[in-house]
Amino acid sequence: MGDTPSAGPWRHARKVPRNDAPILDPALDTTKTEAPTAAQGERRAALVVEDLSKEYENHRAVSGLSFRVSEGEILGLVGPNGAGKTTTLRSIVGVLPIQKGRVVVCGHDLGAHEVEAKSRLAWIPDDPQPFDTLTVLEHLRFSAALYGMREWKESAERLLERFELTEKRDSLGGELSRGMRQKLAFCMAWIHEPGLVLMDEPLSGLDPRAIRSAKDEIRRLAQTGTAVVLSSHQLELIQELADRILIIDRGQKRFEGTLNEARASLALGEDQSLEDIFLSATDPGPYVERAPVGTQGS
Amino acid sequence: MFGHPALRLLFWMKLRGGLRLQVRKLRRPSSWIFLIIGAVLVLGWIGLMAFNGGGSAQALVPGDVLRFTVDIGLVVLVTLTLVGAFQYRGLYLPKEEIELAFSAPLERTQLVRYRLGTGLFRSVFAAILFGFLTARRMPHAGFAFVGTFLVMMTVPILGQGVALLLGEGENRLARIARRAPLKLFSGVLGACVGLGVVALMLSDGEEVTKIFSEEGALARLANQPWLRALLLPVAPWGRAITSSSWSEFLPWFALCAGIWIVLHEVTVRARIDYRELSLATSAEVAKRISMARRGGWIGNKAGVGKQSWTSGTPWFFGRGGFGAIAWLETTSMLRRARGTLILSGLLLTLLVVITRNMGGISTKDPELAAKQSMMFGTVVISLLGTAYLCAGLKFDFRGRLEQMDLVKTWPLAPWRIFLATVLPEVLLVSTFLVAAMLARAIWSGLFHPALVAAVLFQPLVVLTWVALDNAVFLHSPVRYVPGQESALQNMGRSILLMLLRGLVLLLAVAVALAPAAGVGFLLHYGLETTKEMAIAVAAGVGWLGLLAVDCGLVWAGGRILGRFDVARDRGV
Repeated sequence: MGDTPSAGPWRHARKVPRNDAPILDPALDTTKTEAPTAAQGERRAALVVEDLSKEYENHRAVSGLSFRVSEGEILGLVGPNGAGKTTTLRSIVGVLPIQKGRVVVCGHDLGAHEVEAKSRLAWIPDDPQPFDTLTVLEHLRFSAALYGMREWKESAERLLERFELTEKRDSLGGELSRGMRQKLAFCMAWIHEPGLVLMDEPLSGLDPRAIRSAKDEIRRLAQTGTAVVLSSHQLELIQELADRILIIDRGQKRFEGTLNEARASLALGEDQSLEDIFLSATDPGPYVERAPVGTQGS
Repeated sequence: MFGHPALRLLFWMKLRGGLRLQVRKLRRPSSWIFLIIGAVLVLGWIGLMAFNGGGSAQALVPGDVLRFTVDIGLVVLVTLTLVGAFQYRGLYLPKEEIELAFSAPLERTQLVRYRLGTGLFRSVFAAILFGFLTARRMPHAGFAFVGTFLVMMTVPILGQGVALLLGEGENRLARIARRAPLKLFSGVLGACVGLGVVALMLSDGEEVTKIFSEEGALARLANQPWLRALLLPVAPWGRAITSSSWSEFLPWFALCAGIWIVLHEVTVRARIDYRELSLATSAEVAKRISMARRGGWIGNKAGVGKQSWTSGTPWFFGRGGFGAIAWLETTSMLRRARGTLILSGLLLTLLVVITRNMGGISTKDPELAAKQSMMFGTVVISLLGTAYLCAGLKFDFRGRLEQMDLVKTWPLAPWRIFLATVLPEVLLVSTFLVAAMLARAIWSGLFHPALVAAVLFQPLVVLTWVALDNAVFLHSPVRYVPGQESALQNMGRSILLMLLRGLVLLLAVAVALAPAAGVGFLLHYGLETTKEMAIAVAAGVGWLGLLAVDCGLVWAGGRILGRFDVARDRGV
């Protein structure tokens, strides 16, 4: 009665590791069209966003946004409230339809090959909502099924252990605390070993131990070649984890690059933090004590 | 049926999880008691619906009129479904599913198939129930059951199809529909149907028979060409339900089944990007469910309009703490319950119209009959109005469960907080009902001292009702929400609480009226005063008695509020 997925990409999502998936359109292999930065090295692009725009009824949330993330890279997405961060992320993962522009995930255009692109990404929203009546383990079983994984139990158990959820494996989703829900969301996102993970405020609600553990996991994920886009207001987290940062304000890109590049472009001192950079980029004013000329960073 | 294998798995796991949750909640004996009461009530209700009045309609109503009545019912059902589709555009998925589903590698058709599958599964119970309901009232029980079942399985698909069409971001019709007062329309339509049924129930049997007869009003209406044209789209289902033989039934059944298949496939395969409005719909429904679970009424919590009626609500009760709480509730009511208030006004108007010539028992004395009618109408308006408006408005603790943390910090005695919270609602409801009573009296041109008594008693009656309802709610803030887990237990629990409330209400009325009756009896038979004087004094004593009862209820409400535990009493 149901649809039998013929050659649905979710079937082989796991068999084809990360970015080795065949690129459907050679033109989308953007690694060849743009010179990689030092941070990106020779790595291929896991995410390419070109001229992304999103308009709601009475305001433009995102306007002509372009950026790219290489495999194994962590990009920190920062911006003031209402800057368009969540809209950007939700458009990239396909929750919101793309009105204008193009999103390419691991070589697959989201507009033209939606299912293929989605089978290579994972999304952790800011307030993950588990199913009230499913146990933690059943959540992972469902998540694995979504991505066509037949052998899921071993990965699930491993993830539960890594996120200290083993004891909660039979707890219902509705019984989990905010932190536990967040951990479960991590496990659900990790289980199919995606090529790109997008996270919106991933550490909110976690206790210090869980934060440390989550940060280690994010690093470990990036080391295995997965690209990570991390949106957060916790600037110290971004500063600590991100290889590059993307600052957006009122739906537009204010800056994209490494911290040092940001300091240089904004004429800030080497000791200036991401917070200073952020305030300077989004509202240059009295917040930043500018470094004297000649002492600017690289 | 459920699209992608993962979605099929999700369906079964959710089903199993729901049952598991039910079992987990049955650890305490009280849960078993509530479950049994709930189950008995539901089964009893179904039994009553299914087996009561069997064969009455087919015996009394001619075939054409029966078909016409069924068609009218179907048109109302379809209209309400379409109005619902306009209100909830796109593909509704629960909040825990929607982000996951939209970001997962799933085809849109698979999601629609899953949604339709789960929707139809949920409709099966209602379909069986309505099938039973119509089965014994139509010429052939089996055909009626199957026909009704098909209707109940087709209507959700129609609703979903239209909702998807309207869910397209750029859909102009959807934009126009958004501005239309659809909630009001569906409310008025539902209320008209409900009041029509009430009117039929209150009418005498002879009148009803006449309406449904071959020469009656319905038969005449059924012959109107425009109405025939209007009913044409639902005719196949109407014919199937009212069929009396296989030869009549089979072609209509085949047509209906064919339409079901086509509609299902067209809905599934429609190339529509429904994501944006689906997200909005999902968020809206999640908000309403959450509010309903916390005790707020689903209908009266719509967002505050941009242009509110009331730019500044007067501080009727002073500028102190008591006045501030009362002002808060008044403002909430006036700004958030516009729809409910307008609908209440319309319903009361209809109630006035319906009760205009009702209740005159005496056939010999027209004057006496008019007085009886006045008394009857006033009592009906008072009781039905109190029950309906108090259930609908709920701008008191029942709608403030989310802010109980804040309420508990207010620097006032609990009984004062309790009174200040319920008072605005009591006064508003009383004003509505007194206006309706007076309007009815003016229309009928008949005044009687009993009307004055009714007007004076009305605020106290409403206060009794609201105070008791709030006290019970604060004591056990769990409400029955359709579709929630453990619905049977909660229903059983709600019924028990309702019975308790009824008992306390009766006790309160008895405590208030017993001295009044005693005084009246003593005055008339002991001191031999006139009857009018005895009644007037007794009414005064009764009024004071009810006031004393209300003071007691407010005090008790305050005590219960004082003991309210925000950590335990979360209303879920």
